[in-house]
Amino acid sequence: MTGVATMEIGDTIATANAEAVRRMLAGDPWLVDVVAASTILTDLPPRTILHAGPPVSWDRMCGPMRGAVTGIAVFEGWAKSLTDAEAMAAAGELSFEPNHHYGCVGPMTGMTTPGQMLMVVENRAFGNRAYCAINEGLGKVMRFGGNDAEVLDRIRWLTDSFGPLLGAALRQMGGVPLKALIARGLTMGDEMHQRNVACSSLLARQLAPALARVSDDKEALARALSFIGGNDQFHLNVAMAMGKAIMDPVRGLAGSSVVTALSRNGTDFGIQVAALGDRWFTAPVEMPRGLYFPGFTQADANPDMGDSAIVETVGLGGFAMGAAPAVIGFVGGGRASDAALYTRRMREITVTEHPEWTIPAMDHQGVPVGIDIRLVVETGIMPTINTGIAHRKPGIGQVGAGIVTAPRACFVAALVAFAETMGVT
Amino acid sequence: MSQPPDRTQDTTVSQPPGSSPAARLLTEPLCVINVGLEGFAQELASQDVAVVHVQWSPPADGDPQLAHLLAELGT
Repeated sequence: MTGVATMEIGDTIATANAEAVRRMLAGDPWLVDVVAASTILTDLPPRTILHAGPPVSWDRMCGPMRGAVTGIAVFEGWAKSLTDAEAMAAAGELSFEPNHHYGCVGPMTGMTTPGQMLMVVENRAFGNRAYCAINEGLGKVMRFGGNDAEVLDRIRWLTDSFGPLLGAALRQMGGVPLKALIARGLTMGDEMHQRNVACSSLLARQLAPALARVSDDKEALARALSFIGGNDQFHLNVAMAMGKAIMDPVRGLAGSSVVTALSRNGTDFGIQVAALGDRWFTAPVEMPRGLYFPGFTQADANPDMGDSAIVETVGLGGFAMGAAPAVIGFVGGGRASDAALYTRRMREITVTEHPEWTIPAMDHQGVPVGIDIRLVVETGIMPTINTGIAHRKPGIGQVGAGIVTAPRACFVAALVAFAETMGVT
Repeated sequence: MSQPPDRTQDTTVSQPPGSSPAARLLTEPLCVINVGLEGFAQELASQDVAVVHVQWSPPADGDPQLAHLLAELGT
């Protein structure tokens, strides 16, 4: 290929990537509602479970994913017991699809089914919507593979009581604009993946009056407020739906080498790239390096999982570590003074910086935005993701938190496919 | 107007023995910039030598086919 042709290809990609980040930065995400999943998953085949990450069959699912699948099958009334659900899954009587294929995202195991309530984030700049279930809180929860009666009872309460109340409050107040909320949260030490305490608190402050206005049951209101106030990660699922709503307008953009999704299912890590639409590029997922709760070690850990890396895809999480020196110790990432290094390193593989999501301690440098697969392969710098760590066995839950990097093989495979679309071999 | 002195031709100032840049390497404390393999930097640091490590590796980990694709794709 001639130098002129190479320059033209490079210019075409640069123009497309500029458009990709323009769309990302123009995004105007609002948390607007909570709706029954059955109303949006209208084309979902019967007994289909949406999960985190790229596609995975029952026989390749990790322990916590299997635990969550059996639990949600009981919740939906498709199985009488966990054992029954396991037999159904093994017999092919349950189907599995990635959340991303249906406009959804979910943390860790990421169970999404028609019987749940989903939060709705609307990108008002482009008119698209994205969905995520309500964060269950800490402790024994389905996203970490929990599936006992306590876990299922909480999901029923979220579905029957809390979800409808939160939806009514959001409709009453006309929604919550999230772009400014994130900007403020970054100045208060959140990176929106493993630290959401500021954004959860800010969100609670905005929601409380509307919840009070729409509730006619003092006890239900008190429990709802207590639930939000007692869960530092309440905002994580909001941030995830926001990330999906920001990235989807970039999906399918011809000529762009910008990543539209980073996601894991506990077995494989998958990425999607703007110009390559809905194709997944996968590789075996890696084990997080991190710190473990008392009584647990790396021998208990499951490899990484969850759609939550959509927050890194938009420049938050590990990319915004510089804003959250408090979280670096929690995830075992080094000294507080090292936090900015993570952000600077991620800037080497991105197209630009966010002009509104800035980090005060880094002289208001914007978070790195627009992961370019070419830069990842060229530099060998892999996206850094802050993550929770699940026990490898079903039903136990979270055992720690850490840092994981995306596997290089995903980016190499995506680069080769991207080059083909650009006529380069 | 007088011209600035031509220092390249100035032979009136002679350097004391051992003050050339190469000679100073042996007489003054070192500050090392290490590029590439981090092990060299770690070894110097363990001997209390001031060292700045620059993380560098060949593009695409030295894979010629990937380097070719990257060049064609304009990085």
